[in-house]
Amino acid sequence: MQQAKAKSKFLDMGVLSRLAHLRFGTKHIVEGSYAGRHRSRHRGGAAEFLEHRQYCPGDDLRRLDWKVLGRTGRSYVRVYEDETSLTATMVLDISRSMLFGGRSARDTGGSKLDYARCICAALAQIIIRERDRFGLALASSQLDSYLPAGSTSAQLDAVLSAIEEVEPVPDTALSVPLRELFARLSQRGVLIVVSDFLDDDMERLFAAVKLFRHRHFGVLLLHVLHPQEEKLPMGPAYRFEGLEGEGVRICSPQEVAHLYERRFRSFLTGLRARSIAAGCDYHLLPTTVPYVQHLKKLLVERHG
Amino acid sequence: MGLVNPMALLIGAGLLALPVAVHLLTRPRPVRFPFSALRFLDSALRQRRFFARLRDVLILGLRALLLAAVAAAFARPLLEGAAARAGKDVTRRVVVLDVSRSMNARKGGVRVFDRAQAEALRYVRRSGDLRIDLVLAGARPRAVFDALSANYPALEAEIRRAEPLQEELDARSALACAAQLLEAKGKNDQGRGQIVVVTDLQETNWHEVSRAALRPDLDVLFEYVGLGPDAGNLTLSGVASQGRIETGRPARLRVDVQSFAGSDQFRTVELRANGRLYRQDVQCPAWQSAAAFFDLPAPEAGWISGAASIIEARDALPADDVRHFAFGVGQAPTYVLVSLEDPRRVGTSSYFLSRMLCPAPSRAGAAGERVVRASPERLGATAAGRAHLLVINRPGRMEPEVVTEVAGLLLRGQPAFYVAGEPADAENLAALKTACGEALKLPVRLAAWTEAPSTGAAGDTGFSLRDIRASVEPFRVFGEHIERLSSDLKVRGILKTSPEPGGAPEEVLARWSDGSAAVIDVPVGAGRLVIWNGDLLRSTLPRSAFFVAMVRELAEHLLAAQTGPEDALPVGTSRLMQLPAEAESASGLIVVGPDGRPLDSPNMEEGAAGVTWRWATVGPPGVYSVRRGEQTVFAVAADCPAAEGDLRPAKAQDLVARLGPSDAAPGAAPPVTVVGLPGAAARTQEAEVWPWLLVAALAFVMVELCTLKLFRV
Repeated sequence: MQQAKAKSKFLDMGVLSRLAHLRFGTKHIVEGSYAGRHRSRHRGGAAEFLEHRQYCPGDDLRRLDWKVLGRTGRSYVRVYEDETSLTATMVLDISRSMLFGGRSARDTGGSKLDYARCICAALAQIIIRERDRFGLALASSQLDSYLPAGSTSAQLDAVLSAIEEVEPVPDTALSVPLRELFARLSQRGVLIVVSDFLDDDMERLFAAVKLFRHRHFGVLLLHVLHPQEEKLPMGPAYRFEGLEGEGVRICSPQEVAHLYERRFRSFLTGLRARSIAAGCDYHLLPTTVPYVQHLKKLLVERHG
Repeated sequence: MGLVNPMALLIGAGLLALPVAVHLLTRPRPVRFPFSALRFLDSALRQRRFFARLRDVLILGLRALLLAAVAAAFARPLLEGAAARAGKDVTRRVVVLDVSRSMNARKGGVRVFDRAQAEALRYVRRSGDLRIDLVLAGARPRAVFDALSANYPALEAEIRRAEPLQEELDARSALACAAQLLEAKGKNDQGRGQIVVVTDLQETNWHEVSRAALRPDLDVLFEYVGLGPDAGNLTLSGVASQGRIETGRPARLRVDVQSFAGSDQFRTVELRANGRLYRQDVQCPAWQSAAAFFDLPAPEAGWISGAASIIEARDALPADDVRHFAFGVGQAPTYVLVSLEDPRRVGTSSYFLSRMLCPAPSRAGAAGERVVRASPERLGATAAGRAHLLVINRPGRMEPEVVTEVAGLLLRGQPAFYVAGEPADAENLAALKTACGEALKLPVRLAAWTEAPSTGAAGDTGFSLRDIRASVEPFRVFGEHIERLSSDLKVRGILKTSPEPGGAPEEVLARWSDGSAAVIDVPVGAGRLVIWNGDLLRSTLPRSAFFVAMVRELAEHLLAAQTGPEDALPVGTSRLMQLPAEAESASGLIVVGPDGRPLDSPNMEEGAAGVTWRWATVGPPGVYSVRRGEQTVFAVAADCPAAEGDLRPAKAQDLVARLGPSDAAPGAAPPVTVVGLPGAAARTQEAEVWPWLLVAALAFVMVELCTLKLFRV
């Protein structure tokens, strides 16, 4: 296993050692440059025989099936299901709403962002460990930074470093950075979006997601949820201040708790439904559950 | 509407600001909370905003109403009840305060008169230009002032000083007195006059009032202060002698107890007579009367007097549990039978009459009942004036001096029984009427038949009795069997009678089957005359047990009239009494009251009929003796009429119907309001509104809790 050179508070190797036996698999056929363990879309090579097809001028003569030629007098080439490497690109939502749950404005400990960064670091380490490629995009209302996929330890360090230096940005509009990212990615792979999905325009967001799906990307949506987003705090009066500059609301949570929860549940249900409809894998990650449990469950499901 | 505690409303208004201040001072400071999902909170707040505002308005309104209700309850508003409505535009008022004996009734420690005083005081409060007078209403109404006055303190003092009297209320006189006081009206006085009667509204007092004395421009308001229809009272309604009380014969007294209670009563009646005490247990069924009989030993000549009482009556009105009485003890009666019939002959009508009057005559000179026969011309010689009863039968045509003699005897108190059947009797009676003058008013004129009357009966057996007044003497003793018992009496010889103008038809106690008067009972001066219209010989008299009993009863009735009034005189009234012949003259007579002390200057007058005592105001209750030296020549009891013991109130609607405007004459009588009685208008609700205000306040609290629950707080 490749070890990260730089230590990162978001990467707990002791915790991740429990996941050492798990791989980040994919259900889809991937297109990778290197020979890996993932099923490749490209046929040929020392891979599992798939089928014969008629020889076309220009085909690699090494693939010609000489036995069939000798028997039938016709020229056929052998087609193989090769294993190849995975390219995973993670989009990390660094909007201010991800700061919710933090201990203070400066101390993001306990926030959704920290939780997401832990998941990001863990996934990066798992994927790179298997010689797969991992890229990172930091997104808010734009593509704030993009680290192209790589599979070396230096890549892991770079990812960890990028994660450490995240500066939350006020707005959330993931559709824009997703489209930008789509333009940059030439190779098919897996898109992992880690966000709270508190986006005003879900239509545009899923339109952007569908771009990736159209290109046969595997899309994994990891929805980070803080318990106090699902249920309002109890008390006589609260001054709710929007983290992304939405303003201030003073009210008694008791008065609106029921309605709020109903609306939020409706949002979660809708998001899941859209995700499934778009062909994405959707996972809800409450921050009350240790992230490693989520990862374990995720990896077990994907490994098949 | 008025307020008992108006300051409470001001305080309440201030208190209305309290919840606002409490809300402002105690509302929690909001906790700062950075939040990521504000748009969902926004959406929820938008939806809740309307309901939150509605809830806040409702809660604020309910709390304000709660405080207002509590403040109003403490302010004790006075709702305008029937009494206040009736008092609008009143500038003249007469308060009639019932001071009759029944106002002393008590229940639960509360005396009716105390409540009456409190109510009466309410109506003599100073109010603008209101002029008031007070009438204390008993047997005779007494106005405090001769005219309406603004001297409220004096009227209040009179009310506080007043006490119930041992008198029966004369309701008609009280109303008439009040109406008369209200007639005086100032020149510029545009207001109404009002009579306020504070009374226990006894049916026995008020059942005879009418709207005659009341002008339509008056208001009449009755404030009922009684104990209600179930007060529970026992009354000694009368003490009577059973028959004439005579020397040498035991006397029987009957004491009547009337129950005005809803359950059977077992009590002991005590009779104190001439210093001796007798007791008798009596069971009185609910709402009925019972009698206790006392047999006294043969009294001596003079008077039996004393009092009967119910021991431990434990009822609403103890004052009516005692009743005084005084009965004269007469000598064995002597009857003087004036007739032309031979006294030695047997079988004559006079013979039968004397046997009926005195079945077992005593010997002449001996004490005892006896009949003295006399011819008309010897009337004076037989000392008829000393007879107890003068009986005249077949006297023939009486000479004028005999008529005058008889008239004189009648006027002086001698009772007489005249058996008339011959034409001469018609002339005698006409002459007697002339001789007595205004003192004798016969209800019918008697005359001889010009032709033989027809009985109309098959076989011409004679006339029979009809239209018998069975409730009076001498027929009362026969009870409900009077018709059957009298059926065997037939008479053929009667005089024709025709109504006399101005005569009293009730003095005809029975009629013959042709409509002629059969028995006539009339007062004549100090005496009494009973006329039997029927020839005793031409009748079934010898075979009629009824006639014998009737004559005995008649005799008892006439003899009893000599012994003075049977019932006690009503306290508070005035009376003119004819003293018996034993009084002789007014000079030297004194009247000793129940306390043993002589009355001041009793008004005694001598006249042709003897001595009369004019008693201006009877009372207080007790036995009064008229004495000459140590000898009692006359005794009479004074007491409150027994009707005052019936505490049941009149029905409000009946009273209004009797006094108020009718459908036939809607503007001919004043509006009448009755408050305080079941079925009447409600009294001023001052004591009854504030509990409802507190109930309303509690309701507001409940509604607030429900509202908060509804809005899920």
